[in-house]
Amino acid sequence: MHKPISALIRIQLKMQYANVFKKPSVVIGLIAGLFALLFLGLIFGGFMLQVIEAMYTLLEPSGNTNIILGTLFLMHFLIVFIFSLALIMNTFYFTEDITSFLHFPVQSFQLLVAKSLNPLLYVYLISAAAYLPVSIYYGLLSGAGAMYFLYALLLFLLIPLIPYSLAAVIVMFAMQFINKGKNKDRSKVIGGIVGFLLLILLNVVLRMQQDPEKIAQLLASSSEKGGLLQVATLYYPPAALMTNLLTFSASWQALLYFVAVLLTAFLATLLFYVAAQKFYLKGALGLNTGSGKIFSGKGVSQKQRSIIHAYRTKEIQTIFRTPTFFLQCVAGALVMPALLVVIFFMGDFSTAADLVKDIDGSMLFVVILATNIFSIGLNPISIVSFSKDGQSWEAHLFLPLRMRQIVLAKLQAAFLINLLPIIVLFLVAIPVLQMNVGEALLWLFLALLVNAAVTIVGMLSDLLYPKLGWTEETELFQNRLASLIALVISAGSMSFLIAFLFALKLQMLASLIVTVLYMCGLIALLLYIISRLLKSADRTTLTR
Amino acid sequence: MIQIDHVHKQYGNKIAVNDISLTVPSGKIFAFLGPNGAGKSTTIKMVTGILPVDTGSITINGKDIASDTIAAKQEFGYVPDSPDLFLRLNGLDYLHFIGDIYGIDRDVRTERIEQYAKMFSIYEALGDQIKTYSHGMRQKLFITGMLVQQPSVWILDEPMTGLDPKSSYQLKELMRQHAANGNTVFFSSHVLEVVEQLCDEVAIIRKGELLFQGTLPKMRERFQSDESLEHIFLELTQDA
Repeated sequence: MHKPISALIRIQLKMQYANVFKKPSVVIGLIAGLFALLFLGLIFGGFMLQVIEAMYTLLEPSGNTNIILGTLFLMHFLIVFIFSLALIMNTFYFTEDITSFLHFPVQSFQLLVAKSLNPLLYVYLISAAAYLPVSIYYGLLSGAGAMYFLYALLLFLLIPLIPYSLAAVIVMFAMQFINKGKNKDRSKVIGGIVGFLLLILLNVVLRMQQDPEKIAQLLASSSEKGGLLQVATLYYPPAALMTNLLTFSASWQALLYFVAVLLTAFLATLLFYVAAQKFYLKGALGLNTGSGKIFSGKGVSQKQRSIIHAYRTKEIQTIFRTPTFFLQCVAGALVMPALLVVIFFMGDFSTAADLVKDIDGSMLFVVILATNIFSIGLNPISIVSFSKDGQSWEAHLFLPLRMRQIVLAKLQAAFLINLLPIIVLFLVAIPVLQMNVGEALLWLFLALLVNAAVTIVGMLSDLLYPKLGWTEETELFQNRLASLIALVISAGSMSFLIAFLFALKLQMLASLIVTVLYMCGLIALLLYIISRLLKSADRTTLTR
Repeated sequence: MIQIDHVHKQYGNKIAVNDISLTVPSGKIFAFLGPNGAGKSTTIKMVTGILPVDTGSITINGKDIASDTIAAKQEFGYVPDSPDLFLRLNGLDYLHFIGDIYGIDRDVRTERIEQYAKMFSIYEALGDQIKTYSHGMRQKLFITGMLVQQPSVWILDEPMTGLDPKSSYQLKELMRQHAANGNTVFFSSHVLEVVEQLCDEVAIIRKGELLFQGTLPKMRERFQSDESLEHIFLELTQDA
């Protein structure tokens, strides 16, 4: 390995993972995360395998089963490509440490190979979930020999490089123009939002048909017209090479196809190299510099604000001006309700309204409550309440601020930002579910109550497992036990309430009273625990 | 006035500050010296309430930092050694934030922001985020923040680091003026020439122990030396 690359890789590994396995809490978080991934993989895998089996049965008589592989490679390309766009933007451009490496006498591609370690790890995890179960199951169904599985494994190692490299080339090409933009942070945010929109688009594509039989029939009819494999080949030619490689794995032709795939991956990597050398520095240099605008004096005179008002404004300004926080806590929160609608009611809103009409009063209450909990609970804003301050936390210790003021201002900021998904969901839900005024008001009231409780749960989780010593903001949203704890406490406390209401089947009004009492009790208890935690914590690190 | 009374701080088995007692009087510029790792920053962090003291007490203008925390913190302004705080705020947001926290009213605040931001040549950059500032500009912004607040006690940790000669000169003038008005200036520095020309009193710390506190003439008298402060300092801390 080239010496600078190995040195850069070593330092990247040390910076990202050196302390990961030292803390038991992180190890527990990682294990829990892996289990969650496995669980999701099993659900997705189970569904996919049903599709594969149905398709295989349908396509076997005509001998067109290789359509399955063609589709697999095309879908794999799309999924990895879209995820790579977001990962690469974050790692290559948005992290705070990008300037730390720019003065070293290393080539751009060497730096980017080292920086690719972390995103590639995620890419291979996604690949493992999307590609391995289907390809292995296909091999078992077709009674393939050992060479099939060997080639399938080699493909697993090679194929993520193609979408990853192409995504990197596109990002690097685009970023050189974004860097010339007047408001760089805004450009970063727009880039991130495009990533989110692509995710929604992918979801729409995936949700177009969700019945395994229907998918199989659609694919079978396409194959009869000789359609889908050609489509796959047209939009992503390497899919045909990969399909042929596995289809003819037992013959000598396979070797030729393998060489062709190898060359394709090499070509993609070469493109990565060329783009890195030609475009990366143009996009990265000066990304963290000032706007060059001369301050006009506007806003120098400003009305005096209360401490809580000033602190709350500071919190909101920090969140809106930090691309990672903005994307995770604001853009993500706005996109999630839209994603929920796509996931549950894609293209068939009449079903949603019918669904609600069939629910009686007490159940409607439970449904509204559960939807609110789910939509608000997805926003990670309060889970980074304290941790997002990072080294600025020190300022809280020498400024004349009471902990009560800090907590209150942070809660208010998180509560206000959490109102965004509520508003979006509310605006979408009223026409979709055809709610009357009473139901809409009930929705809103419950949303505010749930927002308060979930926000406090997030803050509590952040205090239980704080992370002030981060080097880049993205670390706050990856592998954190606080996220898991927040999920467990929110889900646990809210499921208890929902189960209680579900079991008692109370009238709407009685349900409302029980919910209000329960939530107020919960909020008081959580605030008490937060105050105890703050008293017992080391004030410089917030750990105990 | 800052009163440090038998303060002790320990990290595990390592003693960072060992039973230090120090009086920083009003109307004086007081320098706190010592080699790297001597315990200067730990002491300053205890004075400012960033670190808790293990034993002993610290008062600022008679207010105890441990028991009367908020009142004590209202008494001083602090410029940290690494001004990498609130990086996502722009310069003006930071100054208003400080103004609001310390309750500086609108007119006074506007006047001070304009006066000191222009004095330190950062006025034109007030619309930019702090993260885009150079080290020196950040330092100047945090000094401006303290001047907007105008507390009676100034605590400055390595305040000259990164400052251009003009700003450094202006800060020294402001320190002199502040002390001449009967206020307290407590600062740490490695630039001994600055200390020599600026200070009324010095304290030297080594390995957590206070080696000396007093005026420069007293120091020369005690160590029977006519050499420069640099020479005496090096002698005192030679095995540090």
